[in-house]
Amino acid sequence: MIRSIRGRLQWWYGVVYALAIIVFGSLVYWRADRDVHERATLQAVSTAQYLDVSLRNVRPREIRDPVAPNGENFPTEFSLGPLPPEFQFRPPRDRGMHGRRPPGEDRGPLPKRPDFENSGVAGGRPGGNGDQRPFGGMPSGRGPDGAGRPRPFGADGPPPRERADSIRVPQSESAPEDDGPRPPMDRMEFVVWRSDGSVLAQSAGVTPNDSVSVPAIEGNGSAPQVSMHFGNVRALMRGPFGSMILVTRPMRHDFAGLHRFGFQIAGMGTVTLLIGLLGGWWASGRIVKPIQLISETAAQISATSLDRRIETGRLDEELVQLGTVLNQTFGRLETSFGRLTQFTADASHELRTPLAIIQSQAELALSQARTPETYQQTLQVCLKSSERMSLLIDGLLLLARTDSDRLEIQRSDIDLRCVVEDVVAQLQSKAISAGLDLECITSEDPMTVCGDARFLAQVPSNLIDNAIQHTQAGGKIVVEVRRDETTAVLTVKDTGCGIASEHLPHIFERFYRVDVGRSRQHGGSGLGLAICRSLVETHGGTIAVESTIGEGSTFTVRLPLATCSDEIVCSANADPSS
Amino acid sequence: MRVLVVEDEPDLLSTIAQVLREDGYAVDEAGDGQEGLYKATSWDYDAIVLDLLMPKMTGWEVLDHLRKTKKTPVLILTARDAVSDRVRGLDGGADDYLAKPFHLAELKARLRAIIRRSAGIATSEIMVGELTVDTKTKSVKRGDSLILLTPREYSLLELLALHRGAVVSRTQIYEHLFDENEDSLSNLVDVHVSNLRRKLGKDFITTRRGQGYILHD
Repeated sequence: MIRSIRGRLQWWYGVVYALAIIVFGSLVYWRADRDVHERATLQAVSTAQYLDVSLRNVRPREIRDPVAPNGENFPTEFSLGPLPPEFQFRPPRDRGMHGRRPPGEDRGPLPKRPDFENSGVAGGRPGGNGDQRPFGGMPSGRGPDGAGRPRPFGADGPPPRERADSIRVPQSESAPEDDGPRPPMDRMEFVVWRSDGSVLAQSAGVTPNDSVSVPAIEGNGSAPQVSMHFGNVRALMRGPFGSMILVTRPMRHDFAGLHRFGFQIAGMGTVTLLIGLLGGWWASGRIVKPIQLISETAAQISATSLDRRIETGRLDEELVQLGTVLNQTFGRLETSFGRLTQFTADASHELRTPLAIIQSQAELALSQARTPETYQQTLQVCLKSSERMSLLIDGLLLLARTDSDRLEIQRSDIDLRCVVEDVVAQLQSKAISAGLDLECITSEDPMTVCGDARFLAQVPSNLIDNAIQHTQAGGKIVVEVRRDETTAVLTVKDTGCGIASEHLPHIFERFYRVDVGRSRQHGGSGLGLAICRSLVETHGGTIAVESTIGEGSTFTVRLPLATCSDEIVCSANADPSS
Repeated sequence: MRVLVVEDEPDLLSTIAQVLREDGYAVDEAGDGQEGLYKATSWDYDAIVLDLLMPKMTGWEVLDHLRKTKKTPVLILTARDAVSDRVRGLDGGADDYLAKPFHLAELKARLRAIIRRSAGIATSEIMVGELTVDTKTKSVKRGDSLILLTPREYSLLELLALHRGAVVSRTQIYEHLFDENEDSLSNLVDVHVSNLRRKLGKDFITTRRGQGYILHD
């Protein structure tokens, strides 16, 4: 399995490309093959028809009877007349070797008609000389060699008489040497049988077996019947007076040419494939490059350089989306990392301040001898500061535990009214000393929630404490617990200074300050509301705030009503009547 | 030397103020940024100790406003110790930066350093004729013999020594020697000057009538 995109692209591309080349090459080869066969067929058929026409000009008797009444042999010359234009081709020069051979020699002994051995149209083949015509036939017997009169065929003697309609077979010896480059072609071979099955004429090169028996023909055979015979095209038709004409178009050279053509196609296809693969490798490299760019940028983004982004403007359309998504991820990472950094800075600030007080107080006290009252004062300040620190550390630990889901909550059924009334009772004295009216309203129905009373009590405690801190003397704080369908609703409403709307979304964030340093005047850690939200959410509830500047704020906590078991546990100090 | 401490943590404010007073400084206190800026622009302090995170106005804002009118040396004393905070503070016009928690000795040393630098003196020892004023130990020597001075007398001598060769007016002396809570209408300056003359020599401090006092090299 190739793991690299580039490699895979290359592989797929290569396979598809090779297939395309193979299909295309095959198509071209098939087409060429068909052309060759069609041409050969046409030549065979034309030759057969031509022979047929030519034979009609020969005296019918000669065709029927090999021996002429006057004792003369069958004429050995025929004029095949003008050739149709599609025969205007010539055999290659090397064919001339065949042609130079005396036509009778390669024929072998013919058992039946020895008198025809050297006669007939045996030499009437295309490859017999360098002529452009397969049969060398010219109108009125004008040979291609410029000879004014037809040459007698056969090496053994002149023809018995000159006839206008004699078949003239061009002599191979007369092959001119001015052959141009022509496609090689096999000689046309033919056999003509008389009606009695004896051979009337045959071309050189026809193997004896071919001329032994008259092939069977279907139908009346007036039109040439084409068939393939040992890879050669054969046209068979009935000639005049019951004669049978068989023309064989040998395909050896055509096949050789076809094979050459096939090799050429294969070679060129391979070269094309190689060029294509190289180009593909280059192109896929270009495609993969933006991905490398993205990964390089991403690799450069670290904790100290979170503000770096991928330049989507330089990317391709498909990769812009990826780049955008990555950039958004980096953005979120930067935001949360910034929040973390801010939190760490805030937390260390809050821890350092009481530490600075303790350290400087102690150093001052020890710098010289002091009165016991001064020492006492110093120790009190140190104690106060360390309490503040431990409060802060508790808060931070609580938040850290809720963040990591490691807060050990001992859930039990709690009546929220008990918890809230308990807290209100504890903070009543603080409210009174701040000159505030703290009122608690609870409904009649029990408000059973499943949770940890220790942690749940911190929520109203923090909220009421906040309300006391931010409400001027003479103000009023109303704590209410009511039921809203399936949720228990706790609201803490004060008539304090209120919170500006731009701060509202942030007040539940850790160490968020509406006014920098204000919480210090009130001694808060800056974590109270963050702890409230964390605890409420741990218990499956929500916390929200509404506020109007100058009129006061209302915090609303919603907790789902649920039971862990049947037993309802009230805090120890709660009023049992509630 | 008169110093302003701006710090919103009451316990820390009183501690620092007390430490500096025991070291012979006249110390003014401010509990928030606004008050700090008001005092800083109203008086010519020798140095200001400034917290950053304060109600009403942050230390950066105080610094920003202060630098429009005054060149008073400022030491930022804060719990924010991130590099970005330090850079922002120093670039905002602060002369030094000290992170909480801190050692009192370091605070005092840094304070001395910025006061000295603002007067254009490189070392903690100021030579005036035969006298050596050691600002580190707050002591005065003639040759090898130590001259005992009260903290006030020392402060007056240090002030004159830092501005030696130049006339220091009575108002300046009052502003630098006494904090906001002391009565500046008294003739305390005259008393201290005559005490110094008695201990160091009659011609040591020259009086420029109607202008102030001058310490010659």
